[in-house]
Amino acid sequence: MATKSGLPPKSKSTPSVTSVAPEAKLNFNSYELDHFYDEMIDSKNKVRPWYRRISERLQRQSVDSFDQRRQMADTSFLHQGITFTVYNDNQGTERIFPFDLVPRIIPANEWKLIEAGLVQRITALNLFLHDLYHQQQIIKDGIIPRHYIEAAAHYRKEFIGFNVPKNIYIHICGSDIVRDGSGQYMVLEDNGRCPSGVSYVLENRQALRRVFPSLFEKYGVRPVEHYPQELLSLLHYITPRGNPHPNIVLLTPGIYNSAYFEHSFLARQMGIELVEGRDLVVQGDHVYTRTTKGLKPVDVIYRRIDDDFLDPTVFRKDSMLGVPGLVNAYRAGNVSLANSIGTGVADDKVIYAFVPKMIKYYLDQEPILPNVPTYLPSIPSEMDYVIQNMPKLVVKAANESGGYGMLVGPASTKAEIDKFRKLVKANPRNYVAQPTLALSRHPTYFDGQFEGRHIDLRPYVLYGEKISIIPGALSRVALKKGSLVVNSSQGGGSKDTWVLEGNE
Amino acid sequence: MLSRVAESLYWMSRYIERAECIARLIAANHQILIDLDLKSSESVRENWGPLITSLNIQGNFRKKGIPPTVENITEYLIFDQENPSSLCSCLKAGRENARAVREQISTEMWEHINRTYLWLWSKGARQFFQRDLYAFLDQIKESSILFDGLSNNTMLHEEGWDFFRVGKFLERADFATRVLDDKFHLVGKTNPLIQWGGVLRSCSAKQAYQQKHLAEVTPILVAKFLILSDTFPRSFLYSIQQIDHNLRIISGVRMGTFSNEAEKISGRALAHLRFSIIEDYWNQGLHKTSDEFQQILNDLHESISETYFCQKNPVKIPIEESNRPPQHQAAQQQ
Repeated sequence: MATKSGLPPKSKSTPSVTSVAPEAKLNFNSYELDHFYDEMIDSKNKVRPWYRRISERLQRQSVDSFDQRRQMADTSFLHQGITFTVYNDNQGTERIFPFDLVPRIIPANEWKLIEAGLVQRITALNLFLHDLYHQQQIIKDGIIPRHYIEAAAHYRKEFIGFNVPKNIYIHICGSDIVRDGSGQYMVLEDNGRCPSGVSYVLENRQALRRVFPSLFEKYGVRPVEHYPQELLSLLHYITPRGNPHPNIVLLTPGIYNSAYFEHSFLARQMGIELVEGRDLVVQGDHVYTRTTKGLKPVDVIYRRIDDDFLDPTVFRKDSMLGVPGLVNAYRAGNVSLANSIGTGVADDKVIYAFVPKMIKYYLDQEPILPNVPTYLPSIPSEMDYVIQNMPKLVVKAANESGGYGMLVGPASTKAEIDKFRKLVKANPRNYVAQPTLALSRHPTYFDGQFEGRHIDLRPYVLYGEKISIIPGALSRVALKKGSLVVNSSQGGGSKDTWVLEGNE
Repeated sequence: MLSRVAESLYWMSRYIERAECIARLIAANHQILIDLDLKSSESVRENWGPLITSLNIQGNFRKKGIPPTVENITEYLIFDQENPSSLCSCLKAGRENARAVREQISTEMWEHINRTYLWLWSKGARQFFQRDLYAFLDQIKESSILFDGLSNNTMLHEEGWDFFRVGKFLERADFATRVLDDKFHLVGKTNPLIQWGGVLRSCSAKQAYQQKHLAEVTPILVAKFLILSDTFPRSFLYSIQQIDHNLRIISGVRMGTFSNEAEKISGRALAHLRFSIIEDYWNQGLHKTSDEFQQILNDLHESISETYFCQKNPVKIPIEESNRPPQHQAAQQQ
């Protein structure tokens, strides 16, 4: 639009400390490590080799030009509508997911380890789900107690004996990885239902490339743009009866869902139709889309709706988002779903605690990426430990996500801790506890300077004909000083994540 | 194409066109006030009253308990969120529909509508409005026209495009009938030149009209131009012609025949218009004519909805046909 009046000037963050002159160059002189593992700077205050050039390039920037680039990135996210709605405000204000321009860099050797660890993990998880929904050998062999499985919120008993297409349960997985104080990568949780965030991996890359192209020069950053093609060929691969021209659709809860942008983004990138539940109809165990020319058969559904809401005739009766009869069509083998129904059992944080044992049991290997040590209060001896040490621990509800239903002991009041002690005692199966990790930190830009903030890493694993992981990830950053919670719903931001061809 | 998508494209286009029409209407009515140097509340009522009637908003003012002054009406037509046809509401609804079909429209279209919406709801837009009403309204009009141009040049000209066009011209035809109705009562009153000049301006038709009829502005010629011109892109006939054309592209049925209710209505309306002279409408009164046209447009909308958006008994497309790649793809593969 030819805005003579101009678009509203984006409010610039006013520096709280005015000591930084706008033309001054950025620097790391007052950067504090505070004894945490820092991704960029080692404990001897030396820049790690793979960050060397980026740190030089950043320090050539003036505060002013850096601020301008930030603003350009923010404006571009806003104009593209890459926003989420703040509901507690009757204006329906839309905010962008804060984006930090300093990229997180992973050298090739570290990525190799992450990749191998994730391939091992998703292989084991799929074997586990297959076993669980067939012979249940892992239970019979006493590796996982039956009662844990039976009590898992997303366990779908009615699918025992059902053969999913190509034997794949979790097609798309977004595991959360963190690093502890020593820099060791560990898996914090697996998201095997409908992991979101991958659109930010692609959009963050595009935004940073656009506003700060010079950062990338000769860095050997591996591309991530092929993710949608990989995802599409996966969806092709699971087509029922090998139909060479399958009709593949992406099922979204609709425009008011917080991840709607991503649903629409992926559908667009793959060139497939984005559908809502009301666009689909089931007749004679076949799924169809309602089109202007009549009913068109559907072969594969990449669903971004949880099991509970998929089909009101089978799961939640009050679901307005789903499609009556969908589950029957799925059972009849006329339509494939990604991810399969019933994968959520592996997202249960109690079941998560058994993944290292699954790896040993199914693959006879040691886990390449360890779990975060996890205590199960449902085991009497561990209950005592959890209750006594709660002020030091992080306690999580077994089936919540998004940073809800959790207690960070060291950051909580005595009353909050007592409340959780009661909750845990009342329902031990529903909780796990983990030591409070000294999560690694990363330089993040605030008001003219860099400060260390805690980060995590969510790579995306695709399991189709083969297992592939795009060399990149979503790095979420807890913007609040000292905070360990990176979720966007809890004040988190994100960074572009570079996986390098080499080690520096 | 998904029925829901077709419907959203249709409504997206209608709302953007509606915003443009409202902006034109406000600008033209303000201009008339200035031209006639009208200040008294009597003349304001005389000139703006019918506008309120034609937009069906009198009840809202009664409910709100505020007097329909020029300022209040303008505010109501531009910013009032409770008014479903205010500029702000139209842009919001247009954008919601665009968001729902984000993957079907081009990035250029989406970003344009999104930016316009963000701008219109910002403080900056409000200040701009207070500083210069005409420039503000121009911006809305230009924004809608730019959106049309972007769509024309970046969107696939397939089925979705046809629904987009049908929505646009339905809204345009609707506006043409409302404008005529609005000014009909003025026939024979003071200063027709200014009044009817205003009508033409609200349709961006002043120059086009003059090219056809020189400077002679008479009510019947203006009515003829706005109803029966087959070359002026905002006339009623032209709009119906476009709707009929696009409906036939959607179904593949040739001119002069029909395969559904919507095509029957548009074809019949078009034939009627083509085989009429302005006196046929003028003699029965523009108000009656306008009502008849409104009825046609309502019927068209209903039948398009039933045929394409919410079919009661949809037929199954045979698998072979539904899986055949669209023509443009097949062409690329060879």
